[in-house]
Order: sequence, then C-alpha cells, then structure tokens
Amino acid sequence: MSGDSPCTPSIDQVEDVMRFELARGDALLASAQPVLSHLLTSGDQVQFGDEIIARIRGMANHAARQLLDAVAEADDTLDRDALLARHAEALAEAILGDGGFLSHAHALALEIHWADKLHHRCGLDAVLTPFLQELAASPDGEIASAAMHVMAAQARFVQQQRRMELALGELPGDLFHRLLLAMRGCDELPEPAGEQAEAHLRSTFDEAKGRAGHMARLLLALGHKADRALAIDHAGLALFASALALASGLSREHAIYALGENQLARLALALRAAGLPQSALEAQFLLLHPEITLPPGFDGLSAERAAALLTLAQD
Amino acid sequence: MVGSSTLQTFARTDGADRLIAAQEPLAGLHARCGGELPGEIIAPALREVVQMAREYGLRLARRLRMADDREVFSMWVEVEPEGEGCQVAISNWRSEGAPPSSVSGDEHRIAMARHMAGLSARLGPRQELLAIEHHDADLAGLARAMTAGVGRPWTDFVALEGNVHQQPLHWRLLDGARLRVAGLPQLWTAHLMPLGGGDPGSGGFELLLVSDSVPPATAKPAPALEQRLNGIDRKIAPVLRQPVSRIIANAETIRSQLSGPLADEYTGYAADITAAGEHLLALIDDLTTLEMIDDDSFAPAPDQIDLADVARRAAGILGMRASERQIAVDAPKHGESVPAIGEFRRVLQILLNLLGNAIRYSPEGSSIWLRAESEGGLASITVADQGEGLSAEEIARVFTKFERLGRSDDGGSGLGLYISRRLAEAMGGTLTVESAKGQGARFTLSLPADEAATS
Repeated sequence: MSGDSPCTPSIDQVEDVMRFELARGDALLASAQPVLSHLLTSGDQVQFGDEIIARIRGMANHAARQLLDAVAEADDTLDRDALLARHAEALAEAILGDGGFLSHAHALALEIHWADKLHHRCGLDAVLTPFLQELAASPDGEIASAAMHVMAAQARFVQQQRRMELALGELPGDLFHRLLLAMRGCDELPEPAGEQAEAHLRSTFDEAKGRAGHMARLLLALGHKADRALAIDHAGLALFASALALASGLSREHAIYALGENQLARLALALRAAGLPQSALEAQFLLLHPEITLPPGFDGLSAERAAALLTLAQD
Repeated sequence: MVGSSTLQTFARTDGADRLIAAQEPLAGLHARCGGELPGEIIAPALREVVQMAREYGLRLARRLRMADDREVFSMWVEVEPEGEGCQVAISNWRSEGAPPSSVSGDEHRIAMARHMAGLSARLGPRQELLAIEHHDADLAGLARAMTAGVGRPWTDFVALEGNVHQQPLHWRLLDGARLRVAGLPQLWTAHLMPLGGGDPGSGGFELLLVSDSVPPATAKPAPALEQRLNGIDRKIAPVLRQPVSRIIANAETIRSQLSGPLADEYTGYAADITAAGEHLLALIDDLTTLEMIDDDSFAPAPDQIDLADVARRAAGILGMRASERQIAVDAPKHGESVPAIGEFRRVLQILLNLLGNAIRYSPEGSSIWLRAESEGGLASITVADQGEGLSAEEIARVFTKFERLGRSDDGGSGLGLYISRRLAEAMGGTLTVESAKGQGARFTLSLPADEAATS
C-alpha cells in the first residue's frame, strides 16, 4: 500500500479541490454581508421573515414536483419516485434561480401573510368576503358566475398556500414558459417523456383559468362598479390587490408589495392614482397600518400626479 | 360600447403575427390607426401578447389597453394558439377616455428625443421631407442627401429594420421604428410627432433620429482654477490682513483723538473707517476659512470638549454686544456638562457665529437661549432667539454660500452659516435650523457625544 496507488488522489488534485472550495466559500461570504445588512436595515420584519422564505421555497419545490409528475405521467414505465429523487432538488434550485419566479412567489407569500393578519385583526375571511357574496347573488348571470369562479379560485389558492404550494396553472404565461425551459435544462431527463410532458403542459395551460385571470375578468365585467373592490374590508385582500393593480397601472405583484411596511408611499400613491378620495384612502391605511398618518397636504395631490409619480418610479 | 361586456369580438392572426381577420370594434380601431387587413398588428400590447402566445404555444389572457388618436380602450383579451397563428377573443371592451397621464409620459419621451436627436426634420403630411437639420456630425452626410432630396419620403434615405412591406408606412408603425444609416455602425430609432389639429399628421410631422448607442461622454477638462474661486489663497490672506490692520489701528487713533482734539464729524468718519476695516478683516477671515474647508484635505482635530462650557464661553465673549442691545442671553448653568467630540476652536467659531447672528437680528430687549443636551449618541447645542424667524423658503437658502436673505446692512459676508455647517459636517455633526415666520429661529448644532465621558 503505497501513497501513490491509483485510488488515492494526487496532492495536486487535493489542492485543486481545496482551492475550489475556498473560492466557493469566499464567494458565499462575500454575498453574505450585503444580504445580512439588507435584512438588518430593511425595517420590515415581515418581508424577509422565515415564514415568507419557507413559503417561497415550498412553492418552488411544488412547481418542480408538478413538472416531474407530468414527465412520469407521459411514460407509464417510468418510476415517479426515482424521477423525483433524481431531479426534484436540482430543478427546484433552477426555479429558485429565476428572478421572475422569485418575485412572483414572494408577492404571493406576502399576500397570504397579509390575508392571515387581516383575518386575525378584523375577522376578514380570505375567501368569502362581503363583496363576493353580494356579487355571487347578482341578477346579472355573467357577473354572478364570474364571482363564483373567483371564489372557487381563491379557495383553491388559500388551500394551496396552507400547504406552501403553487399550482403551475396559476403562473403568468411567461413565467410558466420559463419553468418549462428550466425543466428542459434538466440533465438526462428521460426522452421522449420530457418532450411529451412539455407539450401536454403547454396545451392544457390557460391563463384565463388562473385566479388572477378570474379576478381581472370579474373586475372588468363590473366596469365602474369595480371601484368598490378598492376597500379591503369589503372586497378582501386578493380582489383589492387586483383592483388596485388595474386601477393604478401597477403590476399585481407591485400592488401587493405596496402593502408592506416600507412601501407606504407606493400604497398611498397607488390608492390616489386609483381615484380614491382622502377619506376612503385613510380608511384603507387605518386597516393596514393603523399607526401611520399620511403626510399633511397629501389630500392636495391629484390622481394624475400620483399616477405619474408611480410610473416614473417604475422606469 | 356600454353594455358590451357579454359581446365577444373575434380575430385571427397568422404565423407572422399579422392580423388576417378581425370583427368590430377591433377592425375599426385597427383601421383608424392605419393598419391594413391583412397586415401587421398596430397596437403594441396586442402584438406582444399574440407573439408570446404563438411562440410559447400557450393560451394567454390579459387585460390590455389599446388607443387610437382620440381614445384609450381597455379590454379583456384571450389569445389561443391555433394552427400557425392565433385565435383572439376580446370582451369587456370599454372606453377610458383620453388619460392625461399617458399624454404627459409621451411629452416626456418627446422632450427626451428632442434633446438626444442626432437629426431632426420637418415632414409634410405625406411624410415628405421639408427641412432637415443635423446635430450629430456623423449624420452630416445623411442630412446633405436629405436636403438634396426634399419632397421625397424620408424613408427613402434610411434602411428600416425588420420586414417592411409597402412604403411609406403609416406614421404609427414608423414611430419608434429602428433603422440604419448608410456608413454608420449603430442602430437609430425614429420618433415621429404628428402636427396640426384635426387628424394627426394633417399639419405634417416632426421627425427625430436618436442613436441607440450612447454617445461617448465628451469629457470636459475640469477647469484648473475652480478651487481658487471658492475663497482666498491662504498665502495672500496675511498680506491683506497686515495693511487692513494698520488702517484700523490708525483710524482708531484718530477716533480716540490721541494726537489732539478733532471736529466731531472727523471722529465720526474715523469710527466709520474702523468699522469698515473690521468688516473687511472679518471678510478676509471668512474667505480664508472657506478656502480651507472647501479643500478636500481639510480635517478638524477632534478632542473631548464640553458643549455647555463652549456655550458659556461664547455667551461670555458676546455678552457685551448683547447687553448693548438689552438682549438677555440664557447660557447653560455652571456645573452643567454635555461631553462631545469636536475641535474646541471650531465649535466656538460656530457658536459665536450663531449667537452673533441671533444678537444681530433679534429685537432689542428680547431673550436668546442656549440649550445643551445629549441624547442617543448625539450631543447638541441649540441657539433659540425671538427674532422674526425664517420662512420655509428662507430656511432652504440660509445655509448657502453668500446668502444674506436680502439683508443689505454691513453685518456680514453671507458666509458665516455656510462655513458653520461645513465645519459641523467636517466634525461628523450637523447644523440644522427650525423656524417659522414670526416665531424666532432655533439653530441646532449636533456632534457625536463623548460616550466615554458620559458613562
């Protein structure tokens, strides 16, 4: 047994490995500091809380599982468990590496967090809100059925979020497409099952059937009455966020971010851009941030100026 | 279109995302924007969704906005890939009027384009060239060619990117179009602004060509004399100070009639010379300090000091001037101590300036308070007076160089507060003011507290 038997790596190889590990460690340490300082100074304990991070990770894992399930279904001879064990972790990592997915999942996690908080604070149910009940009983068949669709979609969403899951069909089309590309990028995915799964997933996807789609549809059908959704205690947080996005020109994700503790200006401007009068605006602030008072003179800001400020900020 | 929520509008697109069939009201909107059937989709939002649905093979559904010349419409659009192209279904078609926000956004874009344009031209109603002017030397050749070809469509002189079918195109399709200019490497973007009332473009167009690549920053050599403008050279100051001091001394001799009696007018003149000389001396001091603190290498010598003590000294130094005007200065009590980190001489200079201003601009018989306190790692001293105070607009200006807030008396150089704030900042502190018209002013100097001495 001499030191240079073929099984023992040479000292050069060992050094290479150690050098690589050191460099990796350096990179990790270098990125740790800005992350830490951001966490410590962002001033919003919720935004990057453990619960939020866990939810985002859960949604990415669930998305990866659904993609791989589709592959397993495409070919009966494949072992689903083996497929998951082989690919799930790497695929979830790849999905978490997508900035668009991260912001989307982050916004959803914050949304459900806020919905829970409102439920505790003022007993507002995340699914069955006064406004939806009223609309579901509407004599206008189209509105009544759209309201029922929203209620069902919202109930599904809340259930999924309780399990930290996110159905692929809920994603916006471009994100869905990027997830499929991430699946394509998996090493040694069994073919042609992978291709068949992708084709099947694409053909069954329908953006209109997602929760966000149903809510936008309902709000558009309501026309001018959609303004009534701009009251959280009346319409619920989910429909409120969609209505705020439609009325203020923000994306729905940004509308949800605006609810956070360090985004008060965005919320105030979005509500104003949506045309809310001062008293209604203050009522919404009272629900979300009881401790905050609006800056004096804010009631003098017009909806047009507020919209312009928001647009400039997004450029 | 009210009540059209249940009405569906259908349309079809082909493999190149061209509209090949459309029902009303989409067909009308398309035609009003200069689109053809079959032809390219004019509305950018719809074009984007259709392209995405076709390329990804996904059914997409979005709320979109489309606009013609007078109105903005919002609608619910569902796009389903079918064959080579897509099936488009539109519902909830609604007019939103003309939103002012998008107009101002457009103005913003036009202003930017005008500023950045390498070439601008005035076109007639058929987009024919009328007058051309270039602002970028690279485009001189193009401008010459265009000037020679006045009356022809401007598109004859450039190569448009992408598939262009017939020319001249509707201006909406050309607004924002990318193009190349012969002999130049970079891409250009065309901006077309319709002119004239009634139908857009009836009065012709304004054409702007903006380069896509950022022009190399034309680095202006920094003027070497910049620093000299700030103040007065430290080497010159002593040379100036000497004769001025002699003028003051001699004027003082005359005023006190040391060499014999003088007519009252003459002693008065001598007193004026002394005052003017002292003012000049103070100005030299201010300008020297200004020169020094504007120098990047300026660093005060921090020491452990007691703000309450410095305040008492400042009150002592200016006590005579205050009592001349029957102003009561309420300094921190003896025994009171607020330890801070700063340079004693500089802090005293700041406090003399603040207190001096307060005495100068307070009404006779009023009071001035000096309050020292320490809180949250900061030691601060506040000088509060009962003067006429400052308006918000004056507060914004009061710390700027040579700012005298409209005062023309021979009180100062307008540099005192500017210097004080710079000194405070150099010592890691701040100098702020709170005031309102008619309510007096409160100037607060904050410095890092001396934690070692406090605990």
